[in-house]
Amino acid sequence: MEEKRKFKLGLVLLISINLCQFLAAFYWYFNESKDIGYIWFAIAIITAILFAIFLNKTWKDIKAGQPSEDERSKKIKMNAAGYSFFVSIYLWIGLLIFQDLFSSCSHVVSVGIILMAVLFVTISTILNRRGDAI
Amino acid sequence: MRTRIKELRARYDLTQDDLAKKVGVRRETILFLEKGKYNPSLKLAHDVAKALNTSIDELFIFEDDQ
Repeated sequence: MEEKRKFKLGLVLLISINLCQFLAAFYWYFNESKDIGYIWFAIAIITAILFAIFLNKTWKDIKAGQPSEDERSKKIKMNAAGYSFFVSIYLWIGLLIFQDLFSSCSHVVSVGIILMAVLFVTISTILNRRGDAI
Repeated sequence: MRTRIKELRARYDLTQDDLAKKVGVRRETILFLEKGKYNPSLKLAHDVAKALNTSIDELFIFEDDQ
């Protein structure tokens, strides 16, 4: 029951995030810039697809009676977070050095946040496949 | 490190899924344990050994023990 409750909360959260992305896309498309509106739409659609894949896998695990988290998955998450933090320090230093290549500060921050998310997912995937043999 | 999890699982006719449910972990954890690619906590090692009716010493074999 606990797993299903966590799944429902996660579902509400992810749908809210995706909805905000679509709202941002509509705002940019109709009020500011059509180009950026298209970019936001693309991001929202890609995110919706990724969320759907993730939620489908999680739901199948719950139906199969598997816990959503165990000691290994928590260990991988913590290690991935640690590695991501160290790498992201250099990432932000690089973004600060090359900030003139971006049109505004908010673009630098947006790129930084997206890259940090990609970094975390990539490192989690690598650690998940590698294991942590002695 | 290597383990006898697969051998003992076969003895009791348990799938990785069955063992994972018995111990309360995900199937991938059992998979990586069998391959010797994951270092379990003492509690998990104890739970797996108990589920397979054996001891931690009998279940996990370190190279220098051989």
